[in-house]
Amino acid sequence: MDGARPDHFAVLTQRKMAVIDAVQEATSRLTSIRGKVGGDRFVRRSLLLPVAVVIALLTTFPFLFSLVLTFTNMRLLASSGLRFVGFENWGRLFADRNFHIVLRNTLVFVVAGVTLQYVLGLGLALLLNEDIRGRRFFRISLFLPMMMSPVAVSYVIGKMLFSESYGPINDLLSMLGLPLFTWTLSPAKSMAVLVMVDTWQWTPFFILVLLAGLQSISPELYEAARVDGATPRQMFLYITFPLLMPLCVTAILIRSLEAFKVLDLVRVVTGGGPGNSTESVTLFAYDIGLKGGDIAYASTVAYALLITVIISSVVFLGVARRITPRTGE
Amino acid sequence: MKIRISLVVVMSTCLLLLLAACVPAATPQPAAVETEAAVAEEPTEEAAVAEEPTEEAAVAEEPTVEAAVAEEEVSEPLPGTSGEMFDGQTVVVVGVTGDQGEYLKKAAAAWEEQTGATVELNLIPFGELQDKVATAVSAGAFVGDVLNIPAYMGGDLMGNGFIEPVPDEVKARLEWDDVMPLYQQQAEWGGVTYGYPWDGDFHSMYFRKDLIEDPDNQAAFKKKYGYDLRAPKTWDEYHDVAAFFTEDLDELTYGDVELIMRKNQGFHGFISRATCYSKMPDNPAFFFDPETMDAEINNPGFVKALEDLVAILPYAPPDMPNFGFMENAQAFVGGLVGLDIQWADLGPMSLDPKTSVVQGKVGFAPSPGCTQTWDSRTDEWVEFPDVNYAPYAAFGGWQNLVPVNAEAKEAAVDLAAYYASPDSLKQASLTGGSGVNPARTSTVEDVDAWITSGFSEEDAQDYLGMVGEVLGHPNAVFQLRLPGYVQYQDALELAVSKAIAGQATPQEALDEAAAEWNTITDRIGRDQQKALYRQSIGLE
Repeated sequence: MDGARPDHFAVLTQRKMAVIDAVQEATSRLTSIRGKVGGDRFVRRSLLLPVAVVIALLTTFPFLFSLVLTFTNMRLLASSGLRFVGFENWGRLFADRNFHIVLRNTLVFVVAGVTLQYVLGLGLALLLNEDIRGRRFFRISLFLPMMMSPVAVSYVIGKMLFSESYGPINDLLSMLGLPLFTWTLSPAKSMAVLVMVDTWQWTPFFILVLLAGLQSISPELYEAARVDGATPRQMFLYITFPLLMPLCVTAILIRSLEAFKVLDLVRVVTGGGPGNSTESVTLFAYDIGLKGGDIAYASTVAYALLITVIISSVVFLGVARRITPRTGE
Repeated sequence: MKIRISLVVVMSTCLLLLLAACVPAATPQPAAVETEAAVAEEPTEEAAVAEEPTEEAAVAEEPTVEAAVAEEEVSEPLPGTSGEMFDGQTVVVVGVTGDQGEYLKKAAAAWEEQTGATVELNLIPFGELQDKVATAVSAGAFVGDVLNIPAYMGGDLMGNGFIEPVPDEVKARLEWDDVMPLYQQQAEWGGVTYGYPWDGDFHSMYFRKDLIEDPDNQAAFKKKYGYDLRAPKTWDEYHDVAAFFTEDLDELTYGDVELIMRKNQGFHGFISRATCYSKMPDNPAFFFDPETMDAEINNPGFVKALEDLVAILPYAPPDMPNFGFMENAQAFVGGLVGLDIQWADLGPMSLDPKTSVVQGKVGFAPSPGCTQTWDSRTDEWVEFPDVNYAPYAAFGGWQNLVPVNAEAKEAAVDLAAYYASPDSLKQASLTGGSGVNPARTSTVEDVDAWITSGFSEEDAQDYLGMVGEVLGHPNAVFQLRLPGYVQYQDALELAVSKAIAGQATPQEALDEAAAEWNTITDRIGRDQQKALYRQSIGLE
């Protein structure tokens, strides 16, 4: 038995070598073929071409097409033909007082909402990272709002809970003898309601991301700090916060990009009112384009929003880069 | 070496096997091409199905020729229809999601049975209905064979040639004179009939007659206001009754509820108040000056209406500016408020024991009128010794249209005609949840049918009397139907919303809206809009 083993291994080794030789030979032949038709680069590009074409068709073309639309008079159901109007739509945009108002509303909604969500999310993530009782229950239940449909959340929380005629919040205030929360005719309070509803739904996003970040921080860092006599506040300021910072920046950026596009919440809860004090840019563009049929101007508004988002993101990332401690520092 | 040779043999075998596996796959290709060609030669799958009798059809054909003839003699064409068979064809009906859209399938059951065709629903949420239909139709894409859509879209669809006119022979079958004049007008564009009547929408007043007829309330009201308590006949009276309901009655929390939410029917709520202040009985124009096409919505009549609306807010639920149709209806049928300006749907809803706590306590009347009206031709207020009523056919109802790119056009025309027949419309009006209000005289005149459906005789008389009075009124204002309607609507709703939030005075808000209306008119084309507006009010 023992004597047969070396032979067996020898045969296997020989066969393995033969396979390697065959593969090498095939590879060299293939390389010579590639050389004839333009080399590795050509093959790689040929293989990537279908994907590149699909991506171009699905993303780049609509992107460019909508840019072209901003220089036309395109309308849905228009009886007159399509024509080039130069910068007419852009001129109209800069002169449009309503656009300035909805842009301001959107910026207020994004800054107030995302800031609140971040602060609450960080606090709750820190809490859930501790060894508290019922931690698993809280972790699951706190994520539920994020899984719900925004329209349902808007209606249930925004319209029913905060309803001044039927809502339980005002009933509770009334029972406690406190003044009622009347917000429908107040621009500031209406915006506050929108921010609150958005915060209720999206704070879990920050909890989810930041909790994952907290759990990835090595406990050894805290051990070492504790040995050096660091207080919990110092540990948060000099270990937790700096190490979470890159994750915070990413989460804030993602959430802000989403918040800039808010539509359903505003449409259901306030309809943009009172006046147009809570109307968002997306709702403004939607109504102009799809309700009003003015596709060209709606595209211009959408592009203006895109430019605003890009500028805001660049500014935010610039500021974040300045305040984020670099690794090794 | 031996191993290398055997490896080559193995690889060659694998390659051969691979090629062998590919061969059967490659062989059918010509066959597939042939099949495609065959399919291309044959008309459509539906047509093929229609040609090949199904098992059921085969069984049905088995009986004798005499029996078939006898059956043909017995089954007459359904009302409004041609009696033609559309075996195997599918008619796609576009409608709004919910009971209203689903009723379109139920209402077509008899037609499906008789013609052999199938009705398939393409239901779209209300908020997206206009966008989806407009986008598809303007792109020439198929969205449905019958479009059940709001009448205000007529300006964009009929005016731009996207809709098939109603054939004369079909119109002759529809007892057209029985359709109320307002809805005949809604079905037409430029003298051509495109629409098949379905729903007759209008705003009217609903009030708590039990509280108004109460002797104690009448005495208290007279003492406070110096005149008799009655169903309000003017907007001034409406204001007083709302104030009385709010301040003096324990049964109600608020006096009034109206539809004024921006982007959610606010346009109609405001126009309901403005008609009597700005619509002279001898002038068909209301929204625009028909000579210049300048907006009239900032004239003193409209401003007075907006001032009235702002003044009544203390007597309405504080969140009324955010009430949609259902919240408004719930406030009234739930017993929260005593006066409501609403669509005719509220009548049947107020009698439904499942939703209403005010059954038998509700009175119906046209929306209030005014004792003075602004005449935009002379720029002065005109006093009326009695009351100037100008009921508003808000929204204009729903109608069925057959688009030019309908795939089953003949069947679609037949189905739309069946929907528009007197019997179908009466049945739809009597059916709760159908969303259909009377659009035919015969529906309003058949009091017994309403009593059978659950109305008391008194309620039926009151309700139908109100419907007849509103729809037959010579000074009624019809829903604005112009290309760009939604832009006009949004600009006015913004102004109303600003005024009620105190962000602008009624005059400032309406001046801003009028300027926006003029800009919209210029953008779309003033001459074109002027011609269409004049057509829509019967001046051309």
